[in-house]
Amino acid sequence: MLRVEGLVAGYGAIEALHGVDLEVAGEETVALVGPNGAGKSTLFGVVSGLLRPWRGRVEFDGQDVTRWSAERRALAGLVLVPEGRRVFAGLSVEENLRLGAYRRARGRCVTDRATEVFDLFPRLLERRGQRAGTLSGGEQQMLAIGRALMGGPRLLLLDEPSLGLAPLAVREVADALARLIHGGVAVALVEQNAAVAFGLASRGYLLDRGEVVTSGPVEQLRDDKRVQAAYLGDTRG
Amino acid sequence: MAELFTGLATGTTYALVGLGIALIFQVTGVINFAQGDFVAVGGLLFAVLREDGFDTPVAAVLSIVLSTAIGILTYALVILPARRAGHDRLMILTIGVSIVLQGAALLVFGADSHFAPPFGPGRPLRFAGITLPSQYAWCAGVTAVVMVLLWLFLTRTPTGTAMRASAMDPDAARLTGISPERMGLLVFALAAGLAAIAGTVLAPLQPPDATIGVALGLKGFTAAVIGGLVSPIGAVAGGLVIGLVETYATGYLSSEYKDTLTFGLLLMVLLIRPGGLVRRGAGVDRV
Amino acid sequence: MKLLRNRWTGYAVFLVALLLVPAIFTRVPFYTMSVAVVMGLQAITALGLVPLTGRGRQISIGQAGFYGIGGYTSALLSTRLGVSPLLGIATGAVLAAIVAWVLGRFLFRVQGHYLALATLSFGLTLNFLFAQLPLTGATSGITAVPSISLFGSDVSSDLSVYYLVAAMLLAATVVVDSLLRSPLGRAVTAVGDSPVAAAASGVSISALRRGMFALSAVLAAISGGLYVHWSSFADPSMLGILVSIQFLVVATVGGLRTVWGAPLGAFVVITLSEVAKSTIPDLVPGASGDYEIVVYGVALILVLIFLPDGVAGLFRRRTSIVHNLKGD
Repeated sequence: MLRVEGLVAGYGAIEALHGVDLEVAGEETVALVGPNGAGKSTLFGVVSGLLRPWRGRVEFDGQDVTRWSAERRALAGLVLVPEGRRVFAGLSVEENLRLGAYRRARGRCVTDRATEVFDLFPRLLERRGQRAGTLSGGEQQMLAIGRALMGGPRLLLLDEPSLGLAPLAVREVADALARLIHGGVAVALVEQNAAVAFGLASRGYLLDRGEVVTSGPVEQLRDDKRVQAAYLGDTRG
Repeated sequence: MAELFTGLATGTTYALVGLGIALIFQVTGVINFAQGDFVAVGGLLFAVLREDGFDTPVAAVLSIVLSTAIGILTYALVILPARRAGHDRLMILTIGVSIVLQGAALLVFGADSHFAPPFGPGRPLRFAGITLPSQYAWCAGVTAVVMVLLWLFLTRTPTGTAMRASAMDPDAARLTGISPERMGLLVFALAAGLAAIAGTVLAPLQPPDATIGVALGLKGFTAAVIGGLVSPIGAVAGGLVIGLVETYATGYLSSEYKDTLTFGLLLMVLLIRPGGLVRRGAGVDRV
Repeated sequence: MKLLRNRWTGYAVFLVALLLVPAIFTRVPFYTMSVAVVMGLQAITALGLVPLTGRGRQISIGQAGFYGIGGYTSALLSTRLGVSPLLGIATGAVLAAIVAWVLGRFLFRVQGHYLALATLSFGLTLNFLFAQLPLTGATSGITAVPSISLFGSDVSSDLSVYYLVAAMLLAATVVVDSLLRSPLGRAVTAVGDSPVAAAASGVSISALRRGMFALSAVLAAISGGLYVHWSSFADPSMLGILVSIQFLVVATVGGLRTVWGAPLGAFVVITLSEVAKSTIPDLVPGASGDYEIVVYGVALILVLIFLPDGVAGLFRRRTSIVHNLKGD
C-alpha cells in the first residue's frame, strides 16, 4: 500500500529525516513511535504531500507519488489527519464532513458515508449544525477523523490522535479507531500514548533523530528497551 | 435626503470593488492593487461595446466574460509563479499588473472617456420629493442581486464551501483534496467578474476612461479596510459608508475635499481601531 | 558581491561608478544627465527603505509624503522668506523626521497589509491636502524656486546638480551602511526577523521602527528638496501615489536587504522606462507612447518573479545557491 524509500527531508537548512525506509501493507495498522523531535510528524508531512522531500521516494498503491501534490494524494485515498486536528473552525460539523467528500463523492454516496461516520461518532450527529470551532477537543478529533473517512480513504495517516484529549475522549477515539481498523482500513499512526498505539497496531517502527532504529511486530517492540526509553522520555517531556 | 440615496447608490460600486479585494485577500492572502483596473477595463469594454451597437445585456455579458478571463490570466501568470513570495512582493506584483492593465487599456481604448446610455428607459425616479436618475436604481438593484448570489455560492455550494475552507486553513484544505491554487484562480476570476459588473453599472453614471482604476481601487481598499478586510459583508458596508461620506462632503464642503476625507477616513480607521483590525488580520496573514 | 564585502572597497567602487556616470551618460543613447539626476534622487529615497522595509520589514507606500514635505518646505522657505536652499532642505528634513516620529507612534501599531494601506493613505491624504491648501499653492504648486548655490556658484546645470546629488547619495549610502553594521542596525534586523524574540531581549521595537521611519523620511525629504531646487517648482504631483510606488518598486527591484540595492534599482528601473520610451516607437511604427507603460509593467513583474532578492541578489547568488537548493 505505502512504501517509503530513503526519505531525506527537513525545514529550511535543518535536515530532520536522514534516509527513512518504511512500509505499510493493505489492511495493516502500523505505529510510529519515538521521542519528541524524532521526525515522526515530518515523515507524515512528506508522505501526505504537505512537505517536499529533499531526496527519496514515496510510493502509494504501486504508483510513485513523490511529486504529487497533497490534494492529489488525498483524492487518491492517502489521507492525513494532522496533528492538532485542524478542523475548519468557522464551518459547521456537516460542512466539514461534506468537504471530506469534496470531488470524490456526491449525492447518495455522501449521505451513506455520513451515516457511517455518524454511526461511528454519534456525538457528531448531535452537533451537526454546530460550528466546528465550538466543539471540545475530543469532538474535534472525531470530526477530523470523520472528515478523512468521508472521502473513502485507502490509507489513513493519524498524527497524534489522542494528544491533548481528556482520558474519556481518548478511550472513545481509540474505540472508534479499533472499529475502523477491524473494518479493514489501513492505518499508520503516530501516538504518544503507548497503550493506545500498541493496542491498535500490529507492527511498529521506532524512530529516533530522523532515522529508523528498529521495527517489528508490536509484541516484540513493546519489550524493547529503546522503545520503553522513548516513551518514558516522552512522558517526562 | 437626495444625498442619502445618491450616496448609497455610488457606494454600491465601491462596495463591489471592496468585496472583490476582501475575497481575494481572504482566499489568497494577496492585497490586489489591480482591482480598480479590473473595474476600469470592465467599464470600458461595456461602454465601447455599447458604442459599437451591441445591446446592453450582450455588452454586459461580453464585458464580464472578458474581464473574468483577465482575472484568470492575472492569477495564472503573475500570482501563481510567485505564490511563495512574501506578502509585500505579492502586493508590488499586483501594482505591476495594475500598471500593465492601465497601459493596455490606454492602448486599446485610447485616453478618452467612453459613453454608455443608462440601462433602462431614461425616466428619472421620483419619490418623497426627490428626483434621481434611474441608473442609480440599477446600481443598487444589481449590487443587491450579486450579493445574494455570492452569499448563496459561498454558503450553499460545495465549491463555495471549499473556498471558505481554503481561506481558513490552506494546508488542511489540501488534506481534504481542495487545491488552494485552484481556489485562488477561482477567486481572481470571481473578483474580476464582480469588478466588471461594477464597471458596467457605473459606466452610464461616470463615463470610464483608462485611468479611473487607481482611484476606484483605493476607494475599494478603504471599503474593505473599514469592513475589516476579511469580511465580505463588512466590505459592502464600508463601500456604502464611503459613498455617503463623499456625497455629504460634496454637498456641505466642496467636491475638492471629498478625496481628502475618504483617505483621511481610511487612515483614521487604521490608526484608531488597529486592535480589532489587526487581530482579525493576523489570522489570514501569511508572512 | 564578494568584492563589496569589504565595506571600504565597496564605497570606493561606488565612488568610481558615480564619477564615471557623466562620461558614460553623455555618450550613450537614452541616458542624459537629467536622467542621472532622477536616478540619484530616487536612489536616495529608496535607500531609506533598506533599513525600514528590507531589514525592519516595515513596508511604506507613503514615502512620497515625505518627499513632498521636503520639497514644499524648502520651496516655501526659499521663495517666501528668502531662506537659503541648503538651509531650507535641512529644515524640510527635520520637519519630515518629526512628522515620521510622531506618526510612527500610531502607524506601527498596525502591521503587514494594514501598515501598507496606512502608509498609502498617509501619502494620499497629504497629496490631496497639498492640492487644496492655499499655503501650498493648491493645484498649481509653487513656482520659481531658486536653485542651490554652493560656495558662491550656482548649482543649476544638470551636470552640477548631478554631482551634488551623487555626493549626497554617497554620503547617505555610507551613513545607512554604517548604521546597518552597528549594534543598532543589527537590532533593527533582529526586530524585523523575529519581533517576539527581540521584544523578549528588551529592545524597544516601537522606538527602533519609528527611528528607521524618521531616517527614511529624512532621506526622502532631502531628495524632495534637491528635486524642487533643480526643477524650480513644487507641485502636488510630487506626492502622487505613483511616486510612492515608484520609490518602493526601485528599492524592491534593486534588492531591499543591502544599501547597493537602491542605486542598482534606480538604474535598472529608470533604464527600463527610458529604453521602453525611446525604442518602442521605432520598433512598432505608429504605436502611441502608451506602450512604454505596458513594457515597464511587464518588466517589473518579470524582475519580481524571477529575481526574488532583486538585482543586488544576482551578485550574491553564487554564494547562496547551495543553500537555496537545499532549502527547496
